[in-house]
Amino acid sequence: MKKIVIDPITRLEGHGKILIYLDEEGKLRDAILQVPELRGFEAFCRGRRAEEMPQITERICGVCPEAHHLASAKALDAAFQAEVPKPARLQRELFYNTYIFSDHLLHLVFLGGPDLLLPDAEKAERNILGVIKRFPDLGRKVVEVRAQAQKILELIGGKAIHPVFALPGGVAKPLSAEDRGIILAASERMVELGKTMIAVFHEEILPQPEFQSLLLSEETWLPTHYMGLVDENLAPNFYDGLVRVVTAEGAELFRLSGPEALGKIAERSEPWTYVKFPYLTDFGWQGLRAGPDSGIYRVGPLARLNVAERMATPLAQEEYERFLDFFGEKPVHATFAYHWARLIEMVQAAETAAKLAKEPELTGSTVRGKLGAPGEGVGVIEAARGTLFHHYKLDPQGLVEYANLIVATTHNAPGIGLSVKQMAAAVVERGMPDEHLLNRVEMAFRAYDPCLACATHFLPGRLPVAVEIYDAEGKLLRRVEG
Amino acid sequence: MKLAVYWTGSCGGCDVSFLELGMGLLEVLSRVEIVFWPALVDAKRRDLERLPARSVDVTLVNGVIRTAENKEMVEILREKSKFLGAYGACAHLGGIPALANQVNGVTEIVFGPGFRPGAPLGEAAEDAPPELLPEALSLDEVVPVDFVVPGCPPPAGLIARFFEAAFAEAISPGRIFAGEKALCEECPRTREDRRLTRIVRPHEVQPDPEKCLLDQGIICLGPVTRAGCGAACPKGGMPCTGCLGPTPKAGDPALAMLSALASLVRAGEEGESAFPEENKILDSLVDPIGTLYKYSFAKYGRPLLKLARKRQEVRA
Amino acid sequence: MPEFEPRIVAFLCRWCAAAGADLAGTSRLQYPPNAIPIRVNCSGRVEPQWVVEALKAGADGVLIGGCHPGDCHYVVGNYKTRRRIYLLRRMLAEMGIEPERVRLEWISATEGARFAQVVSDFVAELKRLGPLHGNGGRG
Repeated sequence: MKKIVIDPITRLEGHGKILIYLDEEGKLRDAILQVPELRGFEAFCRGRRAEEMPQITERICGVCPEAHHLASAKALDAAFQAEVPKPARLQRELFYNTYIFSDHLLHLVFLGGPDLLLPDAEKAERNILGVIKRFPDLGRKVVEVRAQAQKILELIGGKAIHPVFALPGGVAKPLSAEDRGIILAASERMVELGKTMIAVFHEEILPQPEFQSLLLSEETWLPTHYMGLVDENLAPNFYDGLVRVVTAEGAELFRLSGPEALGKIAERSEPWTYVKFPYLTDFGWQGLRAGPDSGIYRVGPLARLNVAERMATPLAQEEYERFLDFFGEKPVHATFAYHWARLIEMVQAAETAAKLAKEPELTGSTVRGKLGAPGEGVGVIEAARGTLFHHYKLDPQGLVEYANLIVATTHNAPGIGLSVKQMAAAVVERGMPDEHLLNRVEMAFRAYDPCLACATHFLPGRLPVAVEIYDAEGKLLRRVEG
Repeated sequence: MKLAVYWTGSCGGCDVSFLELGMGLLEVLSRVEIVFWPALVDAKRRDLERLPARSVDVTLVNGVIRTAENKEMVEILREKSKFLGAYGACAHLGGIPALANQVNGVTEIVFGPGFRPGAPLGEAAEDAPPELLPEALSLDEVVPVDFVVPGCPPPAGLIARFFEAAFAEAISPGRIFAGEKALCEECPRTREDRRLTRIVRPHEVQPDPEKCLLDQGIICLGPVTRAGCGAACPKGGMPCTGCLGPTPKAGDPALAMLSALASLVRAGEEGESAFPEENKILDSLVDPIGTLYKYSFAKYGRPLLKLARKRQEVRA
Repeated sequence: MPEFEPRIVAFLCRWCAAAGADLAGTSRLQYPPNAIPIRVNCSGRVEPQWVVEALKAGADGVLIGGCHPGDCHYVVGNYKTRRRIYLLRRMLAEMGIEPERVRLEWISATEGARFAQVVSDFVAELKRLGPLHGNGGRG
């Protein structure tokens, strides 16, 4: 029995190992993506001041701190029964769309991008340095515009990485007219870069036969259900909306508020990884497999484009139509379509930011809503990687009694595991894989742009556990619920 | 210059922070050879293990030391590196995840009824996820550290300062790449006659944007925290919470700040008749550990906590 | 097993409490020898960090002796001490260490007997609480 270990996996956020188990004939027995990290936020958040939660929970992830910062603020808005005044809401939304743009850009160029832009590169070149070498102009533009986007985050958030501005009921301070001017100019550069990246995608990436085969082959096709936030027009909205779940066959399963949707999700743990596996309670746990009768669902760019009926902005809508045209059917189950979906969302985020930057009330001085007594609240938001729930219970002093988070990449943990297994099977089919082929196995998770620090924030406690007893042939004999 | 960057119990923010150099990043990248940096390049653990001892010129480690694997990896990196530094608050002081040290019996919670890490069914024990260490530690508890680039994450100015020193081969041992003076020196807010007549929480008030936050009753750790970030948080309307770590003279930043806050509290003239009112003000400081040890609980609070635990064991 | 003898570090202000301690000595008053005196110019000079260092270094309890309110040689030093120790005791409690292990007492230069009584009481209290470092019986 042989074993191939990829350690560590690279060009993503977080720690991981891929373990590929082969049988005597060298065929795949099993493949898992193991997450070996764990910090325990839900445990040490207890006893903390409620208003600190946006700053504490954002340290779950330094790539998407903005998502936690605002999901946390929204949970606190609910817990304090506060209504956020328009200038504060505009600040938050503008900030948030800028973050989505920046985070997606990071993945498209620094993380997943090198695989797509440099398909034949050797290991040493297969990274941002290689990208900058091959596309120096694009590289420079990306670094420049990203800096401008980060400037927006700093002006509104106080800091670009680990912002400080969100509070229950609003934000820390009003935005000045001068800052708005800088933000407006930067947001227009963001839209420009979005257009450039679309052109690059259609010129450099989409035409590649290898990429086309990744998009259309069976070995990367995973039929799951999908979850994402939509606005009243059934377009994706990153900051707010209802949680919509669409089945693998394209029917709406439900469209609910954050707290209600939370009740439709359960989580399951396995001893060999520190990430939990969520599933839809409507289907129950049917094992780690995809399909219309399984409880497994996916989140993130591809999921959001699958649950939406249209995009919210014109350039994004144009590209969305080209995307749907290419695949011919919906939902799109092709895992590598995540990259294209990410690009489309990046453009919507830029367009939305540019629109919001023009709103007159953005510089309004009323930035805090009235707060009621501290209680319980749920905040839901779409992080770049998918739906994010924060649920808090506060005591009468406004200290955290209980915190539960379901984080984007956690929802995708089953999907990622399945995609890695699919690709590993395909790769070992062709014989003992070389470094290049092993990278393909990694490409299978990179499509999801996973954030494993996010996925593994919790300290497992009294979790419901099931013990499954298998016979020598791997047939399930007995299952005991703990 | 051969560079390695590694993350242990990390959020990834420190790895992203290099991008805040903007165009400066392109210059840095053109002058380094990245031998190991899982976030950005595809070098694997076995590539690191194959490197000769002390062949990496500079290694930056970010993240709290939380698992057995974290400890293993930094020990390997220490062996391979000429200079190894703590990058970011978690490696420097424990960071926010070090607050987990306060959770009683972390190991019992993790390995309690319901969960034990183990290998996939039928596979070798070595395939299990790494065990959690009983405590979350700062980097210098595990390996000798040559320098620190502090912050959560380190601000661009300090990162630039660091690379300048690194390229000039001028990293003096023990150097902390931040200011020696307190944050108050950098803060644009005006300080008046300092008197803490109330302690309020940031969401309870809308502070005057020009005046010192501490003067307005909002707990700001500026007085005990190193300068170097341009007072980003106070400029953003929120108090400093101490991420750059204590000034050289502060010692334990929580106890230093505790002392300062107590000094500043006033309920009218000082005197016996003011005691009850003073106590009321002091009582409105809630969650002292989370407020004062926010980033530094591994390095500073933990030794005292350990004392409490040791006694609980002996008692039991 | 020998009886646990608590070790106390006593920060005493030179103008009042230390003088009171001296008076207890010259008056030949009998009281337990468990306190190690450290003279400071004012109880307001005592940093919370010193108290914690003393506990970490092996003390089972820390005594701070200052002037009565209104009598501080530096006028307001002891008022600050009071507030500092108030907060420090809360911090210790949060950490799981009994706040009773840190005691603040006002002792004037003429109160030799009071000083002796304070030390006796503190030793009895610490015996009740038990050793901080869990290795009992140190003399």
